[in-house]
Amino acid sequence: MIQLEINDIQGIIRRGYGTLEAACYVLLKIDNSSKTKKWLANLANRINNGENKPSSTDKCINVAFTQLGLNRLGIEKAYDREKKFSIEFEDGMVTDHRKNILGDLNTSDPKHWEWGGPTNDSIHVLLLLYAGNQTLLEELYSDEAGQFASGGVSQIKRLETHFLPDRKEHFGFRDGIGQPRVAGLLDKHKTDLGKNISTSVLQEGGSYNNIIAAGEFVLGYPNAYQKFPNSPKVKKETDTDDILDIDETGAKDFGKNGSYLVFRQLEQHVGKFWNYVYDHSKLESGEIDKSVSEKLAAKMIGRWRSGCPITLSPDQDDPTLKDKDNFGYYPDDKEGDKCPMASHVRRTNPRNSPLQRKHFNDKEAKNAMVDANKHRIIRRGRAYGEPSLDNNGNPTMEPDLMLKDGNTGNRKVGLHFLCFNANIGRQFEFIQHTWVNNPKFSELYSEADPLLGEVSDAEKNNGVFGDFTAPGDLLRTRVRRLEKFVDVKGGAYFFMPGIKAIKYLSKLHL
Amino acid sequence: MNDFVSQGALSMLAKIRPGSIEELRGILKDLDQTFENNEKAIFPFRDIRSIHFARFVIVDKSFTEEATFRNLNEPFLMFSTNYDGSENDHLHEIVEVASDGMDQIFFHCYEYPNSPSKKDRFRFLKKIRATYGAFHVGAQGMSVARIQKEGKLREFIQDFIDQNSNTKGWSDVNDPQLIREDIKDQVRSSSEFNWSIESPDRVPIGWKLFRRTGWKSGIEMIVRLPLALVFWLMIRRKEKTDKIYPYTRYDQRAKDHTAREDKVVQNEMSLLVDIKKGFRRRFLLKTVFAGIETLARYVFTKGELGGIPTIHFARWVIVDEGRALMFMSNYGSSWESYLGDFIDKASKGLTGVWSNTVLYPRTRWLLWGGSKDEERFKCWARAQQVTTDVWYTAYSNLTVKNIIQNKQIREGLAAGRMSKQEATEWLKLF
Repeated sequence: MIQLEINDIQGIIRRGYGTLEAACYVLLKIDNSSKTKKWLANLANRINNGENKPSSTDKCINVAFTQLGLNRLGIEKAYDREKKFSIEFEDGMVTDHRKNILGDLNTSDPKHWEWGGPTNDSIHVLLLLYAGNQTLLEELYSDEAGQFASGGVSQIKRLETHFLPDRKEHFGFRDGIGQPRVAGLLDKHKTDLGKNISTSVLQEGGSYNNIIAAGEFVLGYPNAYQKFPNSPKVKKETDTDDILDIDETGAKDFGKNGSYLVFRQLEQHVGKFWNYVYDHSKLESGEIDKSVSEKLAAKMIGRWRSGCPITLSPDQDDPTLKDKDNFGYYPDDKEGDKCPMASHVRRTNPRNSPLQRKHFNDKEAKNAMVDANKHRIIRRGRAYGEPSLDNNGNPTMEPDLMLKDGNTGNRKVGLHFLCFNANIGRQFEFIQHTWVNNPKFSELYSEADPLLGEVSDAEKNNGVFGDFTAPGDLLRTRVRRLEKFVDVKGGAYFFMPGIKAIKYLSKLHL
Repeated sequence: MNDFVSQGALSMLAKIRPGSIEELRGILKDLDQTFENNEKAIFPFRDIRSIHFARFVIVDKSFTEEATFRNLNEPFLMFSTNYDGSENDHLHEIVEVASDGMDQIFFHCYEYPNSPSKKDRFRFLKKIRATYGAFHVGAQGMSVARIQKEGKLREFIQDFIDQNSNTKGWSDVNDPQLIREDIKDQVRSSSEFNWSIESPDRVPIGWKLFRRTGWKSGIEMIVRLPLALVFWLMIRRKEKTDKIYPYTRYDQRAKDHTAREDKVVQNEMSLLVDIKKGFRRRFLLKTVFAGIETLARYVFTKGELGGIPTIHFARWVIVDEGRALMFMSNYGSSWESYLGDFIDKASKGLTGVWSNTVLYPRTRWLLWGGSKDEERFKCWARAQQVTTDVWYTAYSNLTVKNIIQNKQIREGLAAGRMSKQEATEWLKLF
């Protein structure tokens, strides 16, 4: 019987640490690898694992590495022949090919990035620090930073986060609602992960199913294809203290209980977004029709600002549904009359909706669900940058007030997007290329993701980007020439190893 | 314009003279970078109106059982096209329009005549053409000209709807039939688009029955089947011990061709792998091809090949005197999603073909398993991918689904009176 080793998996993979409202991410480079190994030996004991559910007085640490960082620590010489990390991780986020896949072009080009780009310092280690409030976070940070010098690492950048009211992101929408339920992390499903979990046992009824094989997120366990995902293995003799587990073939599995962490700093142009929405919601008098603007924005996102899915409440917001994640698009909204195919949440997770009209039937809806579930990620991002304030000086996410705030244009705000997956190519990059940036998603013609899509190449590409269509009862509503509301400002692929693997690294002497 | 034209696939293999490969590669690289923007480009693809897609690939290596490439004894240039109408008309057009390019390129190949006449060039192309194993067309019967024109027609109507959805009071009257009539009037009054009011030609009955060579493949499959079954049972015993691709991560070599890949909207792929040794393997492979060919002509006629909706054209060709199998595809999605469809949607058909080639992931009964070993399969495909030197597409911003939807828009426009329900359905296409 295969079960998840939850106490070896780092805690942030399992939980978002919602009780810990303060967080920062520290980017480090390794100056002296033997000192760093000693630091890691000690750090391994302070890492929060998946068993511990933190309370608001806790401080939590998690750690991840880039390929360059792991190379510094000697992993290249330890590999068991060709059994290395995936090529996406090894190459990193910035290659010519990957720019096409991720849509990191024009204003999002890595050459303009603040970190992780070709002109920035190389990053080796990412330290994720979480605490119940900012004071506790600063305590935690200074404790940790105090050990950097003796640990042979130096800080490249500290990235701040800001907890926004009602768990919103900066455009004003509640975020982080749709998440996969990981088989093996759910108590009621103490399932043998070696068995096919996509079969009826875990089917939640109908064609909608949100329970995903653990191997889609954590290496060392069967994935959606009932195969063990590619995982880096190391030579037996490098593990002198016999720390690592062996895999199904008897090789030492360095990747086990680890996960690939995708980190992107997404800067959001709040003023641009709401001005666009308002400009396209005007009555003939020139006045803005708020019912139209709220609805247009909700159609673009796929959820109302409260978080309520527009497919379940198509005419107005219903805050009682703000955390609703257990729903499908088939059969009630199969054509996208309520939640457009092109909307952000529908294209980043199409759930059980067949992507072609001629496949609209129950069997195809089940197939669509199985297919969509091969491209899931666990999201753990947090907003950064101060929100606007209302007249009483309290943070506000109301579009009118955000637009009135003269500083909205100047203040840099956005999302530190973090997600976990076991196969960057099939999960994160697929979502980014085949769903988000694909103007031909489903049966569309020229509609990239209205929020994230790379639309600035529209002229060059015969205008195939930048439209947004919301089907209606009779005629569709189409808005054109979407602007670029989000720019990438930094990013890297990390690997977040299991805790035993970190201990192994700390003892890796070649 | 004929509204219905059948599509063909030409694969032309010209053996390259020794020592000429590098120079030829240079010519092709230059062509690849210039043909869209430079009027003096030696091979003006866009002026050859019968071409949907075309590519030049220098084939000098094939992927072997040792998970590495072997050099071919006789490297060749693969010039492949997907075209409208008859093969001879198509070849004549190439000869007419691209004689300079042909001379410069095929100069480096055996048997290309010195100072050739048009007739010589035509004969040369005829001579080097190879037959394909199996061939799939996404949007069947749709000519390049029709695809392009109907694409523009849709945009014209979309703009008209944008301009009028508020001012004409369409939403007040709530009458789909009336809106459709308004649209028809607009199209009728446009000299650029009034052709579309006429119904497109019907598909000829003869074509429906014979579907080019589809019927021949059907007969071939039936004739081959009994012996194929015997071979299948014999080979089947070996499938547990055949070598499989050892890695589940991409080969470094993949980086060569990934740089030009995954752009919006269309992509291409050329794969080349050794066929497993033995007469039985080749016999089986040809039987599977006859089966796929028959299905592609008679069953997969609605834009999908075994459930994969993104393929414009794809074909397999046996090359290198029966030793290697080449796969060439023009598709409208990302590499990752295309390969994902190979696994999730069309696994059995592809496994039926590729289980006869070296290092294919472990199969069961030669049809099951195989590509279902997802990471290994993708890495195997990546490892055998060869770089396409020149690639041309006649309509880079359309997918198969777009083409078929444009066709429905045009047919709905040209149709007679529609019921309220029908008119509503038609308006949903916009």
